[in-house]
Amino acid sequence: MGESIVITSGKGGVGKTTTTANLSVALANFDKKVVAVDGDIGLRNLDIILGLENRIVYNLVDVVKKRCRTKQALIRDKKSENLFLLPASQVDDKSAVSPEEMKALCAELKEEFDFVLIDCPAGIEQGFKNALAGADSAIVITTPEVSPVRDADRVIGLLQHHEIPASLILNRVSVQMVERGDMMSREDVEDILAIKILGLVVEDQEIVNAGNLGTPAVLNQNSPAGQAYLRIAKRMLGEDIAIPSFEEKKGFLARLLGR
Amino acid sequence: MKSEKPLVEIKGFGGTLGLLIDHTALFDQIEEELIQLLQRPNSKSFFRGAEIFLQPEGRQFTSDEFSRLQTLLAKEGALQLVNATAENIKSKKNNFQINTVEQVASIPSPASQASEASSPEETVEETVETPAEELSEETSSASETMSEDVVKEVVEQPVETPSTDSFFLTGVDTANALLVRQTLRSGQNLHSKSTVVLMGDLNAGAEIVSEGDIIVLGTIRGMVHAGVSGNRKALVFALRMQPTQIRIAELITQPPAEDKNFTSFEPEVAFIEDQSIVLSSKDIKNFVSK
Repeated sequence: MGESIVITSGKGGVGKTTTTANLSVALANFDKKVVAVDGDIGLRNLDIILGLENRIVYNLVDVVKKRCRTKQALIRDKKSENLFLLPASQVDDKSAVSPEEMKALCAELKEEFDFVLIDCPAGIEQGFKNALAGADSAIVITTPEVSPVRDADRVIGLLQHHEIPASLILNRVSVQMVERGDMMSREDVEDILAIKILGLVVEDQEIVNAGNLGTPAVLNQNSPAGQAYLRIAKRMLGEDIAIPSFEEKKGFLARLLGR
Repeated sequence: MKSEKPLVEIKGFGGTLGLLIDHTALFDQIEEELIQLLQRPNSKSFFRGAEIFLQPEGRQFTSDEFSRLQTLLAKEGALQLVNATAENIKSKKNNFQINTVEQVASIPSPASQASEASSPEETVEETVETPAEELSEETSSASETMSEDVVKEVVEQPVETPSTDSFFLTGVDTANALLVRQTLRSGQNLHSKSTVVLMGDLNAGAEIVSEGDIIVLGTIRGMVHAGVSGNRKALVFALRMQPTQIRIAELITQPPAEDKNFTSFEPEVAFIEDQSIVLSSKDIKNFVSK
C-alpha cells in the first residue's frame, strides 16, 4: 500500500509542477514505484515538464469516466522503469471529476505504486478539492515572497481542516537577495507558516532549461536546485539529512560562480 | 401508547443540533418525552450551551408552545432553541461549505451575569431569526462564532469563574472568555461575544472580532476588532504587534505607512485614549489593572 501526496500552493507559478516532476523522478531513481498524477485538468503541464507530451493517448478523465482501463492511461517515463504519468485532460475542466472519483482513483493507484504524487492546480476551488480528496499528506510549495506565503497560509489552514498533514518546501530562494535583506528568509517564512519544513530549493536557471527540454533537473549534478530536490526525496524516504544553511550554500554557489 | 419511533429526538446535522418532533404527537406528550430525554445521565453536560434547531416535521407550534419548549430546553438541557425554517438550516450548511463565520457553540452565562448578557438576536448570525419576546431569561447567553477551521480547539472556561470585578481586564463577559489554542491562518476568522484569548499567532488575512477584549499570546499579523458592539473600554493585547489593522469599537487604526517594518518585539496593548487608538508597551501591568 503506497502513500498519496498532494503538491499544492494556492498561488500559481511557484513551482508545484516542477516540484512534482523532480520529486517523482528522484523517488523513482531510488527504486520506488511512482505515479505522477496531473490534477490540473484543462491546463495540463506535468507531461511537458516530464517530456511525455507526445505519448498521451488516454487521460485522467478517461480513467475516471471508465472510457479506458487505468493501465492504458499510464505513461511510462522515458528513462525510468519505475515512473509513470497519469496525464490530465486538456479538453475538459475541473468539474469533469468529483472528489469521490479522485478518492477512488488514488486508492486504486496506491495498490500498485509506492508513491502517488498529485500535482494540484492553483487556487482553492473545485480542482484543489479534487486534488486533496485522495491525498494522505500534502507538500505545500511557496516562494519567499509575501503573496505566495499568504496563499500558502490559507492553504495550510484548509489542509488542517481536512486533517491532511502538511510540510513545506521553500522554492526559488535567491541567496543574494536574502543576504541583501530584500527577500524573506527561511526563518521569516517558518515563523509565519509554523509547519515542518521539508526542504529549501535555490533559484536555478537549470530548472528553466530542464523544463523546456522535458528532462527534470534532479539528476543533473550541476544543478543546485536539482540536488536540493534529491535531498528532499531522501528526506521523504526517511533519511535524516539536514537542510544546508546559507553559509554552506553561499560557499557552494561561490565555488560554482568562481569556476 | 408508544410507537417504535420516539416522538422526540435530538440529532446532529452537520455541526448543528436538531430537535425532531413527530407531527402526530400531542404537546403534553412532547414535553414529557423531552424531559425524559434531557434528564438522562450526562445529557445536560453533553449538550450544555449548544444551539438547537426546531424541526417540527410538519407540525405547527404556536408561539406559546414554542416558548414553553424553549424554556424547557434551557432549564433542563441548557440548550438554546432556534426556530428553524428550511432556509436558515440550508444557509447554515452553505456557510459551512464556504467557510464563512459560523455559530458553533455558546456558553451559558452564570445567573449573576444574565442581566448583562446581550440580546438574543445578536447571539446568532443573521441567518437565524429569533423572536426576541419568546426568549426566556435563562436562554440569554454569551456565544461565540467562528469559522469551521477552528472549531475543534475550543476550550471553555469553567462557568464558576469569578465575575468581572476580580478579573484583570476590563472587557465584557470576561468570565466566559473563549480560549483558542492554534494558529489562525489567512481566511480563518473568529467572532465572539466574549473576550478571546488566542494561544498562537493571528496571521495576515485572518481576523478576530470580539465584543470584549482580544488577547493574543503570539503575533498579531491580521485584523483584530475588539469591543465590536461599541465597547470603547475594550483592549487588544499581543506579545508581538504587527497588525494589518486594529479596530476598537468604531475606531480603526493601521500601522504607519512610512514604516514598512513596523514591528515591536515586546508585548503591547492597544486601547482608546482621547478618541484614537494608541499602542503602549509601558506599564501594561498598571494599565490593565485599572
